[in-house]
Amino acid sequence: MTRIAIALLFLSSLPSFGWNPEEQPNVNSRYTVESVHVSGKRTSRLTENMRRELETVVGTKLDHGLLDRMATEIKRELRVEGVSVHVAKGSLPGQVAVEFLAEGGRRQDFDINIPKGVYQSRQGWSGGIETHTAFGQNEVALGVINDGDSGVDRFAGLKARYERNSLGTSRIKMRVEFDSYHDQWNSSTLAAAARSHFSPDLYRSRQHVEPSVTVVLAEPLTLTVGVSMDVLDSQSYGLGAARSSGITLASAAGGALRFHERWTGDMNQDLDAGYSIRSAGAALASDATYTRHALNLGYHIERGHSTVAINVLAGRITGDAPLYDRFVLGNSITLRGWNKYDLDPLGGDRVMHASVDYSYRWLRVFYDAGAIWDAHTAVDPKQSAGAGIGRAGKDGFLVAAAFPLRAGHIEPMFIVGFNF
Amino acid sequence: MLASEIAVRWRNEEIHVVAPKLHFISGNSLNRLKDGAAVPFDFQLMAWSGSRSTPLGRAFERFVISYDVWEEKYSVTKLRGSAAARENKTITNLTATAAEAWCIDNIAVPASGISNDQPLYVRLEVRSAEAKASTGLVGESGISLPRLIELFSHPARPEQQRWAVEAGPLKIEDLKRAARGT
Repeated sequence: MTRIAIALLFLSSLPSFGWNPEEQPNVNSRYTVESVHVSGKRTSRLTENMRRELETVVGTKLDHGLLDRMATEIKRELRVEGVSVHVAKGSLPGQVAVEFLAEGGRRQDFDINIPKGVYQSRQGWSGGIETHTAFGQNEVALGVINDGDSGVDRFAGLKARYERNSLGTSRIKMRVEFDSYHDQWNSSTLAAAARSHFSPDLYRSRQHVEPSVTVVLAEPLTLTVGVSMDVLDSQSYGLGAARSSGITLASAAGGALRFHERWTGDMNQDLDAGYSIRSAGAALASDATYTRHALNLGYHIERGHSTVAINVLAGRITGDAPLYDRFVLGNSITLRGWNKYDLDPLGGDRVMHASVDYSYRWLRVFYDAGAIWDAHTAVDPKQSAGAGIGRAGKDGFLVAAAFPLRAGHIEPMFIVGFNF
Repeated sequence: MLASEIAVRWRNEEIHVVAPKLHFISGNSLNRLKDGAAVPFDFQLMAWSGSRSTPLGRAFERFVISYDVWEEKYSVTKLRGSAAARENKTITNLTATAAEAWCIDNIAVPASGISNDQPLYVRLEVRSAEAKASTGLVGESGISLPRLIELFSHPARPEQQRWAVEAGPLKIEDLKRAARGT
């Protein structure tokens, strides 16, 4: 009897046609998804982008891991307590129907986020905190920030933002941002300003207003147009470089094209590419006259425990841009290991940068290469590399030692934190 | 579960167990299986004499169980080695009880080094290794503080189910004698 039972077990253990348990231990992965539905609470809030992503699952073999990741996205979009995945027999043999069930009612439409928290051994701490409140199609964000990492200056102050996610149609969104900052300047920047040919304005405070409208041209390509106004409270440090105290207005009109697409499956991929232009001049009653072009590309691929992230930045400024709009390299995300004040303490009006990050589980290595220069100076490319703990990618938390690659004395820079 | 609900067997110089009353395909795991998901279960079989902290032998195995929504039968894959060099062993078309029995039958402790007359204790532990639910901790706007607080406010992995059964004291010579008798 035992032998018969073992023989039956052996026969039944032969894998069914179309299913490879080596790759996918779920027996249902041999079935084709015939339909996908989302039911339960607040399903009307599901975005077109997510609906489109759900449709791509129909006709493919069942991948429950992918469905779980989609459930997480749906939960985030609908702001519900949970989304469960149910797979049932389809209408035809070999097909299955997938249902996402949004449960638990409405989650609180209030959130507190930390968009940035970075310590760099040469530039100190930078961080911010934001609150988000959503009501209907409206979202209000209020936050405080102290950032000595991303720009030439260290700026600290308040950020406020209002967004309307649908302006008549969900293809048009509106946003108004207001920021108020106090600025501090590094001694290297002050010294460089004194020597500079373009007498940069070392403002002590900045008020920034930027209304903009984003139009979905063709998913996932969007166009954003808007204007920005920056009121700078200028000051003199007595170095002969800055102007006497007074108010300066820098107003600009701009636009940005962005393509952001994600592909999920065996490999998760994310492509985020954009081009932006901002132009300020007398026509907008601006004291500053300049045009700034920036091109960025981010590609992120994840398979198994391995993740690769590639980021490219290229930029060019013509005219004399205020310091907040000049390019910077040598911070927690670009030319990691270099000090931005050693590279260009006033920022540059030309930039090229590329970085490659690779992580296996929580071990991460990276290589950066780039150059920052001005129209009248020579290009001096730099490289850096580092290793540490963290996942490569957009939500990249990093604890690392980074080294500038150069001859002579090499001093490592320590970076701890995350950027979003 | 009572000790009498696990029986110890001798086979191919290894210690096996049989636990017909141990039903780990149940509760949350069963619900997830019926919803078409694959649920991993981690098994530990341990044999010791004297102190449990110094086992004479120990085996770990992971089995992934899934429920065929069309056939209404269970499938089990025994995962071996790393993901890159995996030599899985799979069986399909099982009832829940047969799937449980197959898992338990496919874990064994090598008996080399255990003397025949040594008093022996055996313990089988089963844990459901549910997929980690996403916390929503990290979003496009950064790290969410309420989610962070929520994460640390809850006990770790409350959804994980766990079972354990023990047998002993017994002797290898008795097991060998019983094996010859069958």
